[in-house]
Amino acid sequence: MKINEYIESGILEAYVLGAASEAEARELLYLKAKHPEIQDALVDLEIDMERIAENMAIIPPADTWLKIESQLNELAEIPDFESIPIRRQPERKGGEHRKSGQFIDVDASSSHMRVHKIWRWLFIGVFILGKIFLGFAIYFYLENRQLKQEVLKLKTQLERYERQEVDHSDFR
Amino acid sequence: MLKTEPQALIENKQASVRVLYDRHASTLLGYLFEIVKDRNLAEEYLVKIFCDVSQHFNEINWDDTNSWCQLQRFAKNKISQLINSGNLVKDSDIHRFVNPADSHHKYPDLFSEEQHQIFYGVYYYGKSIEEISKELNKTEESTRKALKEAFTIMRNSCEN
Repeated sequence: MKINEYIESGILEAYVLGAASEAEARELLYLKAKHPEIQDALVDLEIDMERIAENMAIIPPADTWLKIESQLNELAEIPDFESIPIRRQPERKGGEHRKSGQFIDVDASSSHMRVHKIWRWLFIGVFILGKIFLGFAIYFYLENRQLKQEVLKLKTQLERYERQEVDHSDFR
Repeated sequence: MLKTEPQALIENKQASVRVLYDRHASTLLGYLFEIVKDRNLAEEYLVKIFCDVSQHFNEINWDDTNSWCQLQRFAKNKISQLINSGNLVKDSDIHRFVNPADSHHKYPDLFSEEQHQIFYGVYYYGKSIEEISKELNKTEESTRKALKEAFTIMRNSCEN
């Protein structure tokens, strides 16, 4: 392929204006890397395009930048988190589980540990239930002791009656 | 006090957009005016395009080619979106603007009818060589040649 013919074909103009097909653009990029003449022609063409466009320039009103700036500031108030680079924290053992927030995070260097807020209600529930069971245990213990005493009393009375019965039968 | 990282990023981007604005705003306004033929509307699009450029600043490869060509491509894509969404003009209305008498620059007088149609289609309305060739019932090779001739006319006119 003759490079001059290629440059004169108008493909460079089509490429710079974004009117070339994908195959043409691929071919041009390949040839550009191989032939510095094409690279130079492209640079010249871009400079010419800028000069041509400058010939049709219209100076914008003085407050145009202020309008752009105020719109940019409005947009900046709603940060685009996707565009902000995220610095990942160093991986820790069990780091994947941290996302769920259900596991206890223990820092070995500290005497304190952080737990999920739900544990507070669980601890309160367990404490209340413990108190209820303790109350029942004391109640049944006292009840049991009283019943034992009554059984003992009844036994004593029964023995006394049995003895009286024996005495009566002997007397007859 | 040290600025937080997102704030610094926003300010750097804004400063870069300001540099682009200082360098190319008037050129871009002239370009937009040729498309919409309404000064207020062109100014409105100028503001919109620079805001969009700021939002997509990091996605544009500014090193690959000169900044005007990148900005023009970005504006052309934006205008094509507006045309397709019906916010600007319908494709059928474009020919209304292809009338040389409507243009405020001197080049259309030097163009043939065909060169004019090809140049406007590609330069202002982002049509591909394939599309224009089909519209004008020409081969792609001859369409590219006509585009090159139109550029040569413009280049020579600029030099004179």
